[in-house]
Amino acid sequence: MKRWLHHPWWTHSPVLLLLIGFSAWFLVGMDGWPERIPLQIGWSGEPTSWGSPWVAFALVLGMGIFFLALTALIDALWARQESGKRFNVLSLLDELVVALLITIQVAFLEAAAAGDSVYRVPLAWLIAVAGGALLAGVLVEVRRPFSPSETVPRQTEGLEGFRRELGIRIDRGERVVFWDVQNPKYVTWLSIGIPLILWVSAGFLASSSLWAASIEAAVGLVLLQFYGGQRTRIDSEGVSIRYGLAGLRIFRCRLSEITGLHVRSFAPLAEFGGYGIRFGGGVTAYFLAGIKGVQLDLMDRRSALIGSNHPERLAAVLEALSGVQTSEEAEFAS
Amino acid sequence: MLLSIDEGNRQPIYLQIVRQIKEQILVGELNVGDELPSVRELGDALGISLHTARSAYQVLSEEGLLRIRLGKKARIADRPDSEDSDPADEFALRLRELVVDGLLHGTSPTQLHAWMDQEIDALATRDGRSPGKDTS
Repeated sequence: MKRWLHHPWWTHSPVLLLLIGFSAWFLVGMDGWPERIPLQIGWSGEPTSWGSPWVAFALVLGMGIFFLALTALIDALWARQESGKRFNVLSLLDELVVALLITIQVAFLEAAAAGDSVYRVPLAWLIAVAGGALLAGVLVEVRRPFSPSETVPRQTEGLEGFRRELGIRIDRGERVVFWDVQNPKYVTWLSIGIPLILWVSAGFLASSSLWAASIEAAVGLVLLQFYGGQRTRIDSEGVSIRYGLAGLRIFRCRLSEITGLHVRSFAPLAEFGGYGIRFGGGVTAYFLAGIKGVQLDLMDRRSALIGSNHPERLAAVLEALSGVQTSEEAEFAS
Repeated sequence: MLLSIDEGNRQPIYLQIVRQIKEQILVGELNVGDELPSVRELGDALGISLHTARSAYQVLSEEGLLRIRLGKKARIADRPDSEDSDPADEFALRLRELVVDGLLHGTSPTQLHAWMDQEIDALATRDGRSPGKDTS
């Protein structure tokens, strides 16, 4: 059975300890908390909204758990995509965020209990606690063992037949077109869900800050453009990649511009920092899913990596139409 | 998905598309849930009218091979379970039509047999497995 958590759970122990410690500290001292404490502090240090200490506690705990889960997801993806141990800098996200949240909340609760009217961010404490948490995060990440993933075999089954069929059609002078689609479910959820949240939020915000609401609405519109995923098309005119609802063409090259072809694996997080349109190691990458693709070396020394669920077929079509041979899988920057 | 148009072929273009998509489903190059290009994109890429592209998708949808929903991209559907009729009867009828046409045009029965074997072999080697697995 496929393990969901591909890395050891104890890499999250610094954050778990921070959250448990904060909860214990809050519950032990609950008799001393005032009935209302500041929930939001303005730039001047004066509270702009008030509420129960329990609301503040739930907010910190909830956000802490959210960032813990988010980082666990990132770490699991990172570990699954690793071909050898690489330091995962993204694994420090939860340590940093949770340490900052807890330190600020502890300082504000203590200030509220002391009856202060102006609240200052405790910089020295922030540096000390966040620094300690980051150090612990670095230590556990360094200690994390490499856990090899199951290798994804090259899909060569039927490839010869596919090449033969392709050759017959090209020899007959037919106009050949090949499509490759990457449209995973998470893209649908993100491109619909987040814009909806942003627009609802913009609706509430419009009366108090029109410019902030406009930015939110605009970001929502941009994200909506990803609905529909990535579509790669290859024909006798060249290669084009289109994105989303409007079918925006974000990449195009003529077949005559291609000087090299490689079917290759890659680690989306470690090499490119995520999914989408990415830059790394002199390569512009276009992918929304998976860890395999076809890299095109172009005449002007640019390289484009096209993510694909069927990279072998994509390369076969490119090879047949452009005449450029596919080279063996290249190993790329670690 | 790989498509091409053979302008020298007397078969209507929409049926050429239907045949190619069916072949790719059969040999496993297209799988359940795979997304197909929009009618507009298909027409644009192949240089055919939107009506022709839509007709191809319509035929596949009617045969239960394609799932088309309003506002969504067409996707390969689960293989249909025929409840109304025995698919073997339908195939036998279509095959008989082909055999009659072939004989009417002077093709010998031996040649018809050879062509059938050749097509089954071609699909089997394209796939790497046997699409016409004998179940008898």
